[in-house]
Amino acid sequence: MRGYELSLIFHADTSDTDIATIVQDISDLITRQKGSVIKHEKWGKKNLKYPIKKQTKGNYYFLYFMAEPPVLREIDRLIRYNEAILRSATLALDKRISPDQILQQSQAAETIAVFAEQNEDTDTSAPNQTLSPEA
Amino acid sequence: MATKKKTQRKKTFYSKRKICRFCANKDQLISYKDYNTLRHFISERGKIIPRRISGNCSKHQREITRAIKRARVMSIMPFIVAAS
Repeated sequence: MRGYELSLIFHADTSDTDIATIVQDISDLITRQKGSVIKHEKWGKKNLKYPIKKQTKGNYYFLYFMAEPPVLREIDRLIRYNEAILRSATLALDKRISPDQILQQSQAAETIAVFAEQNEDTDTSAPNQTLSPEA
Repeated sequence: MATKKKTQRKKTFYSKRKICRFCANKDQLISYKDYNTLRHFISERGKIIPRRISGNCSKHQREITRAIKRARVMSIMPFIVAAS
């Protein structure tokens, strides 16, 4: 079992409920394959540094999870054919960090706040929402 | 004839040894999502600043480079910044 971090950029027009369904599908897949979701992280809408598929904005979502390596291929299959997802990346988590530490990490919040500042017209509702896996 | 020897030029360069900020602060981990940290290691044109200037140690420069490249893929950092 290894720790991974999945980052997704959704199309800015994707509704929150659609995002929630897609993320739910992915986390269902992970848990079905005996993995576990550690943490969700939402950045909300941000200006992209360069256009992707002619979009200048994207909705960032991050998912931390533990899983066996073959699960990644199935996740990729889910993501690849979804047009709401502009860009995705799955990275192995730093081995120096334990899953517990990731849960505790909230210092990322300041980073995000600054990142939001530079994109003036971002969602003011919630720049950083850290949800528990069950939320 | 015109053989001025370069050995005559004896300039001494003084340079303060820069300290790698990530070695100085061991708690600070480098992440591709951390735009605010990575921002200091790119030029105005979006290029990665070399170690000789940034003062990072080789280990941390590698980590920074990797993080910037990952951030570029996720559009957190620019590949290039157009000349103004």
